[in-house]
Order: sequence, then structure tokens, then C-alpha cells
Amino acid sequence: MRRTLGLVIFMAVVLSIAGRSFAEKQKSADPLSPKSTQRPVTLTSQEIIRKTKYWDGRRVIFKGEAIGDLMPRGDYVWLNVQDDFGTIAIWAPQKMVQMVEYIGDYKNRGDTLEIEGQFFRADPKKGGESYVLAQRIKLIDRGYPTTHTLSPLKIEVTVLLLMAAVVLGFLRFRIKPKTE
Amino acid sequence: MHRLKNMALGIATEIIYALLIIGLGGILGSIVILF
Amino acid sequence: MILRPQLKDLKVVGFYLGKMILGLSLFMIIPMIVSLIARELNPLLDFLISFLFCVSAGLLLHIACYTTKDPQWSHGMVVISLAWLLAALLGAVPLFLSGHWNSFLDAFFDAMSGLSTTGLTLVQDQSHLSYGHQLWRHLLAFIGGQGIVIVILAFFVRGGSGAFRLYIGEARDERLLPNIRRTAQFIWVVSLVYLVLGTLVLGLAAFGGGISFWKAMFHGVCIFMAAFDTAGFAPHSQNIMYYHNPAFELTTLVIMILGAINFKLHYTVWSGQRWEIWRNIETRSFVAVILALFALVVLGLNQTKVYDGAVSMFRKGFYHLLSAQTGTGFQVIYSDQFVSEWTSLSMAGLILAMSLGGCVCSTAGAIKMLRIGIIAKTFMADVRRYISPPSAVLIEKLHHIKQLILTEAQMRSACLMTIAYVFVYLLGAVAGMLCGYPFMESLFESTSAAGNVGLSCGITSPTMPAALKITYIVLMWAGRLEFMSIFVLIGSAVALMKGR
Repeated sequence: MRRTLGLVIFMAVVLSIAGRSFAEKQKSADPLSPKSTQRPVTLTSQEIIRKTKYWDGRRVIFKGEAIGDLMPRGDYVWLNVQDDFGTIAIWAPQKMVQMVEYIGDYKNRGDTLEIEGQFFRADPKKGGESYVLAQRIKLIDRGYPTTHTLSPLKIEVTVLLLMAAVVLGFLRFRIKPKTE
Repeated sequence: MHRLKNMALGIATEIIYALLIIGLGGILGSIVILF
Repeated sequence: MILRPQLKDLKVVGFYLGKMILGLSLFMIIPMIVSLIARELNPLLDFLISFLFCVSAGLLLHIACYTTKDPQWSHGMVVISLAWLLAALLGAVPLFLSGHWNSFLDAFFDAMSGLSTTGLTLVQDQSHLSYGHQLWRHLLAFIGGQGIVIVILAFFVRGGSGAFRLYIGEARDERLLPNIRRTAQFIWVVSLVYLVLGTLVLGLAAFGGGISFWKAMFHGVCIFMAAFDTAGFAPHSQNIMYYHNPAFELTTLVIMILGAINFKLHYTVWSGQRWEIWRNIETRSFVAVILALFALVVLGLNQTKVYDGAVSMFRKGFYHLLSAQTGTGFQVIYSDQFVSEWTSLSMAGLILAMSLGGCVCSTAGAIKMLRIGIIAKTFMADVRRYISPPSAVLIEKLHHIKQLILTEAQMRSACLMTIAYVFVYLLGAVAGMLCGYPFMESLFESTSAAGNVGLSCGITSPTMPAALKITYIVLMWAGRLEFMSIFVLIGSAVALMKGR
């Protein structure tokens, strides 16, 4: 146990020294500057995800369907919003999401929302999470319960298969004692 | 009863092993970041 | 001279395949019940159709191929390789009927991914998938993680040498108990005990994170099955990122490690020999490899300061490393971020972790720690041999449940299997490059598929070429069965055509 801990600390020290020399060479090549005061740009999830480093700190507008769950954490809420390409996490004050009525799942189409806010690629205050800090949420379209009509073809196939299974089951129990 | 006790202690041992790995990883990462 | 398989051999294969299909059909009752409770009528019909189809197919094989003959080694291998293919084909039926997969090939891909506990997925619009279908995806991982054969052995087959040959064919060479049926039942006991504990803890963590109680429990059971069986499926497309919950992530880390532990070690530790977990060559190799590879990953991520702060480094860097090493494949970043943010060095660390894997006779895949430990010991033994006097007699030992002497046969087997895996990883990478993807990404995805991990850097998607989908299906299948059963299947097919 002591040996393992000692080895861990030794490795950590060696790595930090080596890592520092690597990082220093790269610092000047990575000029990320916050663009939170610029005009927000409307983006799809794909555009955000493919260039997270570029959009880090910038104001974005993202439109999509609220899905899954509204997860309250104190005065704020986690909400996941998806468009045709992917899903973006939204961190918003509770008051801003009070108008959300439908959340997308099997039985419901969720409310379509337009979120304006600041995108964070890997916020250290949130353990490295990627999300949009909502500054404004607008309801675009109200969600609704989805209807799933029973397929007549599926019902017919079920009945046919049931008959087949019954016949085969009967044969299985009739045949086995004879061959044994 | 003896078997249940062994099972419970066994589960605890395995969870401790898992937490140790996680802890060691956390220590390694923390020390590197500090520098 | 190759002997052509006789009709009686085909009957043995058909008979045991029939049992497997019947076993699989019983599992379909579980999502049927869930769909009934959730009042999801179309999914209920999907599972009813699939259930009845499996029952009919199983009974037909049972009747047509009825035999009292015990399976031999070759039968066992052929049954296993075909059982996995058939189970994936049949398991894909309810998925395809849901309408959330573009084609049957996509559904087959997901079913094989679940059964082989890989976790790569081609599902569309996952957030609108029914509870029944969600559960079925995770159940496939649970069944596959335990082993389809374990299902048959535990419930349908009397113990004996025939049963043992089936067990070995599924790449499990650890005999826990003298009776194979009892071994199979023990594996289920471990899984079910952890299922109850893990579901409770995960469910409570999700509930604490703001999800409603019963939904949290549903997420708990799904994520447990994906974590313990090191599969990596999740109910939402964002995977574990969906939850934004550090306690939830920590619990999944613990469960992933538990799932990657050898079932024989579970048995030994649960029987009272608790110190074995600290002495075993696999658990020690696992710790050493994790720390060494985390060093690589951290160095790589620090090159461009991808994550700022120890917590971020742990939650993103260490999490993915452990997810890769245990073969789970849970992700807390977007797939594209591996390419756009992680450096080549950190990706190399992940690829190495995926290629090495967890313990033998666990739910993890890839080369596995016992072989890595044996290779390391072999290397050290060779070095000692060179520096010792010529007349010295050197015996290398390793501790795996008990003290064992390292033999030439073990060394050879470990090296051969490692070479086979590396070859398969590279073959898959070539297939990716032939489809136009860059080398690093192709190697990443191929290692993930063949090592049954499930981490994706973005190649796996519904728009992926069909040839690559088929390649990854074969890689997942071959990786799970550790090649031997598949070689025997191919050999039997050749014998059927060319034998005397």
C-alpha cells in the first residue's frame, strides 16, 4: 500500500515537471478569448459540438425540443434540449423554465424552445461540463401528447405467430415422450 | 448466516478496492494539476 | 483429412440452439411487462411478436433436432458462435419493429453491440424511445455480459462434460465450482445481488439529482446493467453526460470496476478469502495499468490545457480512462470532442486502455489483465534468465486465486491471444481507412469495437457505410468470443462442404 502510494506521488511529480514543459510551449498557440459581449449567433447542436473551442465563452442561440427531465438543483435547473443533430445541456434559473409544460419522451413531443446564452466548453466551476448558461428562454412551439395507433398488420402477425407457437408447443410435448 | 456475512464482507472489500483505484486516480490527477 | 459433419452433429447443434432461443424468449417477457405497466401498446406488440417468433423457432429446432447426445468440443464451439449470431438477429427484431433504427442492419448492429457488451449504437431519436425498448437494449447487455450460454446452463441443461464444453466455448476458462450448472447459477447470483444494490444507489443518486423517483429507479436499473456488464448503453443520446451528476458518475465508476473483476475472484472473495483481491495478478495489473495510462492521458490533456482544474481532469480524463479500461464505454463528453479537443497522446492512452481491457471471466473484453500479467512476468523471467548463471534453474510464479507456476503453454497462449487481438484491431482500422476515415479515428473505433468497449470518436453513426457496420459487427462478435469459436465455426462450414 505504502509502495503504491509512493509510486503514485513519484509519478505525479515527474509528470507535472514534464507536463509543464509541454504546456508552456503550447500556451501561446491557444488564444481563447471570451466573446460574451458580442452579438449571439444562431447555431445547431452540430455546429456547437464540432467547434467547441471556438464557441467557448461566446453567446449563442440554440433552438430545440426539451427532452427527458427538468433536473432542479437549488435555484437553477439542468435541462437537455435536442435538435435534429444532437443535444445541448442548458443551465438555467428556475424562473426561466417555469413556462415549460411538455418534456419530450415516448408519449410527448416536448416544447420547442429558443435559448440564448453563453456557451461553456468545459467549465471548471461545473467539473468540466459543456453547457449553455441561459440568459433568455423563449417558447417557440408548445409540445403535445403524441398518439401511437396500433398497427393492424402487427396484430395479424401476432395472431398468426400465436397459432404457430401453440401448434409447435403441442407437438413438442407429444413427440418428446415417444422418441425418449 | 456465516455465508451471508462472508458475502457482505466480500462486497465491502470489492467496493473498497474500487474506491482505492478511484482515489489513486484522483490523487495523481490533483498533484499533476497543482504543478 | 477433414471429416464432414454428420446429420447427428447438426442435430446436436440445432437442439442446443433451440434451447438458447427459448431462453432468450423468456427475457422478452420483462420488457413486455414494463410496456404493459407504462401503457405502451405498440412496444408491447413488438415484444409479443418477437417472443412468439422466438418460441416458435426454438420449439421447431427442439422438435426437428431432438437428441440425447452430449455436445463435444466442436459442437460446443459451433453452438456458441451461432448462438451469438442468432441471439443478435432475434434480439434485433423488437428494436427494428420500434421504427427507431433506419434498417434491420442497424438494429442488428445494436443488438450485437448490446449482447457483446460493446455499447456502440445506431439508434435514432433515442429520447422518444419507449420504456420497453430502452429496457430491452440494456437487458441485451445484461444477458450478453453474463453469457448466453450461462442462461442455458443455469436453467436448461443438466450439468456434465457437454455443458462444460459449451461454457468454455464462450471464452470463459475459469471453473468456479465443480458443477458447471452451479457455476452458471453463481454468476447470476453475483449479478442479481449487485443489481439490487447498484440500482438502489444509482436510483437514489438520480433522484437526488432531480429526476422523479420511479423514473430515477428505471434509469438506475438501466445504467446498472450497462455499467456492471461493461456495456455502456444509456437511456439518452448524451450517455452519462445527460445526468450532470457527480455522485451518479462516481457510482458508475465503482460499478464499472466491479463488473471488470473476474467472477472467480468474486467467488473467492465472497467465500471469505478477502485478501485475494490484493494479491491477485489481475487486480494488481489492473491498478498498475490504470495509473500508467492515466499518466499518459493527463500528459496529453495538459499539453493544450483541455481541462482546467483537478475536478475537471478527474471527471473527464479519469472517467474516460476507466470507462475504456473496464470496457464499458460510458462517455461524459461528445464523441467529436475526442477528436477536436483531446490530443493524440491522450487518445493513444485511451486506445491502449481499450486494447488491454479488464479481467478474464468478467464482463469486460479485449486482451485482459491475466494475459498482460503473464506477458509482463514472462518478460521479467527472460531478463532474469539472461543475467543469471547458466546453471541456475529459474521458476516464475504468479498468484491467481492460488500460487501457480508459469508454464511455457500459458506464456504461449497469452502471447498468441494478444497478437490475435492486435491484428484484429489493426484490421478494423484498415477497414475504417478504406471507408475514408483518418488513421487515429479508425484505430480508436476499431479497438473500441473489437475490445467490446463502446467509446466512439464519431465514426459510428447511422450514416456510416454498411460495409463498416458489418465489419464492426464481426469485430464485436469475434472480440467477445475470443476468436476460437468462430474459427471452429468456419472450419466446420468448410468441412461440411469439402469433408469426406
